[in-house]
Amino acid sequence: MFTLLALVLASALVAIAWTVAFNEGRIDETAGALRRSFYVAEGGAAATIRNWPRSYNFIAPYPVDSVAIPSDSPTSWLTPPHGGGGYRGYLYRLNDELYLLSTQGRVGAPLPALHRLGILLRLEPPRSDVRAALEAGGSARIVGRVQISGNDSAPSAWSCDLRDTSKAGVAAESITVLPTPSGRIAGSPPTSITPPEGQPERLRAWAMLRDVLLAEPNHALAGAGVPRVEPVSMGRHCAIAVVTNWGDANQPGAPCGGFYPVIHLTGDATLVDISGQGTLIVDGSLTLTGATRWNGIILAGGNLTLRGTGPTFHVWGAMAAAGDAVLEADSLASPLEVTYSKCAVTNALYSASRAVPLTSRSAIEAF
Amino acid sequence: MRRLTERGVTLAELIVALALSTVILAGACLVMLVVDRSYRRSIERIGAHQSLRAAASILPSELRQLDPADSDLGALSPTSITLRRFREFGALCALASSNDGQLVVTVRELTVLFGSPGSFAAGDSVLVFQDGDRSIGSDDRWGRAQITKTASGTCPGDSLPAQAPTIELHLTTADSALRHATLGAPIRAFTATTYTLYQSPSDRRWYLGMRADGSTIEPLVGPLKGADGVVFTYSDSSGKPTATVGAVTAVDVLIRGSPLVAQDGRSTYDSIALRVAVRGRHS
Repeated sequence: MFTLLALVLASALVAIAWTVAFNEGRIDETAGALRRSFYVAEGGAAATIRNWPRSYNFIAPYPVDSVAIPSDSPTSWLTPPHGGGGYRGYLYRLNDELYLLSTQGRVGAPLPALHRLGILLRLEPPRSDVRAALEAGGSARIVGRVQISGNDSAPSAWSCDLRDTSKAGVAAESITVLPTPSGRIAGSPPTSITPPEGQPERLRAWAMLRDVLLAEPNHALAGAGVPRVEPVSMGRHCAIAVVTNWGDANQPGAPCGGFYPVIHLTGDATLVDISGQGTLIVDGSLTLTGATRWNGIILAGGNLTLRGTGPTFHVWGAMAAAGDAVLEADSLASPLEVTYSKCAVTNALYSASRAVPLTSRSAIEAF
Repeated sequence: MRRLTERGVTLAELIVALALSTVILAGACLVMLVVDRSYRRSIERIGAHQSLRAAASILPSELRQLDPADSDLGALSPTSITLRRFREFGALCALASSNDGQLVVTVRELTVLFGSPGSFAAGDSVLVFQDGDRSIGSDDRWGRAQITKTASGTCPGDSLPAQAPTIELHLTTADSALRHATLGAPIRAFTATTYTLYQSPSDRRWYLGMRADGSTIEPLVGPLKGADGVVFTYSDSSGKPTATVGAVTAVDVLIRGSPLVAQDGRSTYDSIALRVAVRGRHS
């Protein structure tokens, strides 16, 4: 009788202990999975930032646009670099330079632990060392109604809160100016002679920036016979893959107003009536003429020739040529203008930027 | 007439049967008592574990977001920590000044992107991101303001159906630079909150409590072991203990649960140790 009682008692205690241990184990497992899901989300965010494609630099601000991660299959899960679960998320652009990356980590199945994490990011443009609105490795010759300013100004129709110290108007090894009543060179100083021994360093600085930008150009074309370029959009989205879409230089609020492509032209190029923005890199010599509007950077591997022949000609940003620069405008034409603009330079460089977390309070966790 | 053919039980048999029944019932009761006691202890233990787990899920999320170098941590002690508890997040989509000199901003509430409802409220403190030179991040900062009033608001040019609600906030601030905040700048609402060990006046037991900006303390985890139920330790980037608020890069939290008395009379307690790296500042 007592043996029977003892057996019943022992069985009951074993059953309770097993049930408690089993439940505790399950709860611990879930709590551990929840903790690990945070690290999976964080690892996924780090991987997204590390592998930041330049196409992310052109998405339209939220709520017009957002990018799913992975973009080709938003409902599937990516494996983080160190394994341990899966992650996916969305990327939202808040303004020109700020993004919100939201990732969700998942650990366990079939009822997984999930944790969502937000990271505030900013674009970090490559370093540039602009010293003049127009810089030439050789000589600079300025003739006629040419107005060059190294004083920082925002492109017309832009609202721009960036202000920079004044740069030189023109910097070159030798500078020739044939003055006219309406010609003007301003800056600090208006003209700056680069000593021959200083030229290699300057050319190296521009070459380094050129190499960074050309690591992933948006458009690459032969310099000879460039077709007519104009902004192309589909609804509220800018069609950034169209090679003749060089951004909308005149309407910053338009779908392509935030598109600053890196355009690579091989060989020499003569561009007539060009309107665009971003960075224009020409391997050889470049000639610009006709109605011209450019917001951003222009780099020529050879000589640079700007001809003002009547209609408006305005370049906002910075220009550099490894060879000589010639700027000439007819006396009866609209002035040919080159104006340094930090905003235009910075926005152009955003296209080649990588993203980094904000220095302070980048992490967001919500429940 | 019916004949009685069945035999009855004797008194002796009855007494033996009663005695056996009593023994069996007593045994059953004993089993029930032991099982019940064991069950209660298990429930108590599970409750203590759950309580500790709650701390393990809440505190790291709060601590990870902080930037101690920019005043997100307040008073620090081994038994309490005061911090900014972030609870709402959005992005500016309009900015203006009102007649009374207040800053009026329209905010797209982005907390919903995380699946969490939330709303800015009058009385909240907020931090607004300020981008200095857009080409560099080293001069970025957050400016502080206070919400005095909220109203319904719409982001200009919002022709698409908004995926996140918008709200208009009236802000007072001593930070004049906030008037030049850029559109799209993040805004975060926070409440100054203290997590502290305290003894409840009602049951005289110890708890880890949470006190939000002047309100009464509410128990978060407990009951705990006693006056040593919670220990916070703060470390700097070299891993050494520090008492300097701005230098804190990691917080260790040790929480000891209330003692559980075993069958043999010995008492044990569960504890949980957390180490949270503060992620609010990137160099």
